[in-house]
Amino acid sequence: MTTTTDHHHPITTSEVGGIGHSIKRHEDDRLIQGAGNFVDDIVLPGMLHMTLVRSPWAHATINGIDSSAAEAIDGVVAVVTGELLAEYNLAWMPTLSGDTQAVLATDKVRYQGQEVAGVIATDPYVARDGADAVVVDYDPLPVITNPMQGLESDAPIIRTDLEDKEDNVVYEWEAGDAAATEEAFAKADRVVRVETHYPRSHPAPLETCGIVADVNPGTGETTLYMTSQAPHAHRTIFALVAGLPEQKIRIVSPDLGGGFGNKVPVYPGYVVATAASLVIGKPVKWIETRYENLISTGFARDYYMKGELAVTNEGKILGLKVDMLSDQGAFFADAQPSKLRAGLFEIVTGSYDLQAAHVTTKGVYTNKAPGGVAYRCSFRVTEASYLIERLVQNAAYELEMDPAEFRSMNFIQPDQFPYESATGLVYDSGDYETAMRKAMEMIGYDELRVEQAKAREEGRLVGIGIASFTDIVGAGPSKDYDIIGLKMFDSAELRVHPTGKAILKLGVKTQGQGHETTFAQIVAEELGIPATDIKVVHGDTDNTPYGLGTYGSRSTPVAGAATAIVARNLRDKARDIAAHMLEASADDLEWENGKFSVKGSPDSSVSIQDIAFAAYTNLPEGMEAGLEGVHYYDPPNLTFPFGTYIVAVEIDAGTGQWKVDRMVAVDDCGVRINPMIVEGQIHGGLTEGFAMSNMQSMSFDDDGNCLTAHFDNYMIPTAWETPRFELGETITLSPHHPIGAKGVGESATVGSPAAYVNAIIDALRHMGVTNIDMPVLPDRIWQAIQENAG
Amino acid sequence: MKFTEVIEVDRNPAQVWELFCNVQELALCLPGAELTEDKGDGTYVGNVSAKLGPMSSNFVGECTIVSDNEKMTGSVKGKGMDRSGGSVGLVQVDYAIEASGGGTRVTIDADVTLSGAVAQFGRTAIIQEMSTRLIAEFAACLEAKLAAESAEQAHSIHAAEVKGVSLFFSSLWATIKGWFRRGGDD
Repeated sequence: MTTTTDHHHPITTSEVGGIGHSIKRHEDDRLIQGAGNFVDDIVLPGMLHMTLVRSPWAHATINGIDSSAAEAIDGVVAVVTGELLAEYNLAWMPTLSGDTQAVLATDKVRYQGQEVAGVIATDPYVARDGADAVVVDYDPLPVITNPMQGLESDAPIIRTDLEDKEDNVVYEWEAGDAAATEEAFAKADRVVRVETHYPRSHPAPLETCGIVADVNPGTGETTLYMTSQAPHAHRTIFALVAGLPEQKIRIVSPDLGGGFGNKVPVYPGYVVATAASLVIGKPVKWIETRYENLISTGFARDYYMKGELAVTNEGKILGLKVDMLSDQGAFFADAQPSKLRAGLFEIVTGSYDLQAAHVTTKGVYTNKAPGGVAYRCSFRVTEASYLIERLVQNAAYELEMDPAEFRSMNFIQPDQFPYESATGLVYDSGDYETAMRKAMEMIGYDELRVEQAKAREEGRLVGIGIASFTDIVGAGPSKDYDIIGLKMFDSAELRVHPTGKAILKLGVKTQGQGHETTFAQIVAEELGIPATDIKVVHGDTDNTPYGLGTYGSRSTPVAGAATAIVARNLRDKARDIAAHMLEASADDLEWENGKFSVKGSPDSSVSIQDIAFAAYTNLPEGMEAGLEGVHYYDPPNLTFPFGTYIVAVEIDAGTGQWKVDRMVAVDDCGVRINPMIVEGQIHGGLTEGFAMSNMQSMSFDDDGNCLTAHFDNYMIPTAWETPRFELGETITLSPHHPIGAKGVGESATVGSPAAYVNAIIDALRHMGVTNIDMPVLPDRIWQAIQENAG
Repeated sequence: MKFTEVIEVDRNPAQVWELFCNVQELALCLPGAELTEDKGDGTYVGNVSAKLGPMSSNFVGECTIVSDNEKMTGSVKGKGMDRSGGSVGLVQVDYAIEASGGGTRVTIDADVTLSGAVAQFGRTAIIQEMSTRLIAEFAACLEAKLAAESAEQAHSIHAAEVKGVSLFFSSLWATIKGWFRRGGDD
């Protein structure tokens, strides 16, 4: 696949606003005027409010729940316990990874913040008072706060609910070829090791999770307004879990204030509110507090990783070995395709052409909240990318080579695509060298190295870190990818109205990515209808075709392809209508700028708007009326965006403080539909990557108390500490995607943490520092300096 | 969180033990504690309130006391919850009374587990320091009671209400001093 420059310039006019135009986001008109409609904005007549009673203990037996004091409070309507749910067979529910999870704890609590009861009241504050009045008698049990403890022979068993479960192992998984990898290691001159913990992080979207559950007592019609990144899949899960007829369930996911994977799982609160509405016969609203969101909803990462890279003295990578322990929390609730136990960790071979790789992973139950969501990453790709980029950088030091040159020697070459990796993935396209050279040029890499040498002589600690990542997004082909059995295709339904305006309905759901704009631009590109004339509808299961939702950067690779294809199908029909209107043969027509004209006589033409009108008023004999269609797209492969990020940092040796002097990010995500939105996505991802490397980690004390239950300890970067980003691009098309796009929402979160940490290690490596675990807080740097100062 | 406190009292062991057997009097010496019910079987219901900086908590719960008159030892097992703050606490206190020089030595081994909101601020060192101060205040109160001229006078002595803010800052200060002390020892 070659890098093209053709796609840097849009084909459509700015009035049409097709692919390549940085048009303003359609959704922002309402969002910036405070006219958005979020779940908490929804108020229904007679609506009640729910607060959940949560466990203060990380692991404790429940002896009894006394809700009499709560029930006596004026305004408290009901207290829902696990015992009550059990009567409806709702005390437990399946997770997205095929495990079971307590909805409301009945036997014991397994993590701090676990849901124990729901108090329903006429007012949210009364519900809160009611929750405080529920007395739960607990007997604390020994606590497991990391996977190493969980594997000890005398460790308490967390999942006593699972029959015959005698340990805390969730799964064991491997990828690659062990024998071939041993062979490669036997040939190596050196083996470079990195052992590190990718800390537990939390997506922490601006809007927390919530629901307004409205079960009509007369008809049983159930409308659930909920914070859902995957409304259709959630509808099916509700039908299966609650035994409700699916045609009576309507899920509406209105405006979402961010998701980042946090709104993929089905949380107990949704189920309890729905059960309460069913039992009471009135709508029930439940909105999480920030505290509840942080302590109980889907976390991300938490991998203890050991990586080994076999290299030759000449600088060639031969093989890779990885062994990991994964902290899964109390229930295995990773939001990922069924067949993947460690997500898409196979991408750990990264951008490098190596002969053999072998990966082993063990997942372990701990007394922490379940989750394992793909926080702005396509299922464990962030951890994989981080490990290989850290290994490669350290291997270069070991061989006394420049990290950029070492990468260059080992990159998969453009003519090797499609490239089958040592773990069995088939990369669609890439040109890693070009992206890296562009980033090096932008940051002035050679000059920076000269300055670094000078700074070191002055006793200053300056470092340059690179990450040349390969991401994998757009799950996925139905033969390999499903979530609880649902194949991971996605859909688009397009209707062109008689006046030439259109409505596009999607199976995916934006959480801020700008779908209402970019998907309109795809239609504008294909049909010539101005993007502003296209309304995009999503997030309402009664009014959109089935889809698996938005996460893992899959909207553009999957639903974007569906949109392009349905638009092309309508264009085929439009051609036949145009032939009828122009009294010409369809074969004699050509398409340009939203018009069909007779070849050789450009004046004889009809616009898409004229054709749309004719579709309802002047059809050829025998043709079905209307101009509409639906397409379900089953991607032939995933897409593999890539790029190179380079970071320059300076460390204060006295305090361990570090600051980013420069941050250059060159991304290649194939065709950029709306470059402004793409850049916004990259800025967001780079900021989140910075936060993970610099300040964020969900931490726990030995008793399982979550020490990062508030934003004072779980820090969110503000404009003050966030570095300035300099962006660049290369464009390598995805050969199998209809418009050559790859998806970009997560590249920057995946790629950037290694760049920041590599820069810090680069500044300290002359002292012998080879690793500091994230988050690289000043005290950790200071400690590393002291330990290596001799 | 485990800690041991040793108090030396200028009274004979029998006098001290007598006080330790009077739970009502003992409770008066525990800052912020209130005994609300004696169930008669060694189980007592009560509450303990404390302020830590901006947080105030009121733990409601019960404890069971088992003591050995001959050995002059005893243990208290308690469990409480702070309803408004979503915190829970478990406490086990073992105490032993023995003659020491002309007076009495009281050894208190406490194991306190706090969970929930109060423990989530990650200020364990401060909580530990605060507990130490509570014990110190408890000891001072015991001494005062034992030194009292009459039973009435002894009964009127009780621990001062826990001054949240001042205790917080003095605990914080002690914690900070502790860091430097440790640093100096290295």
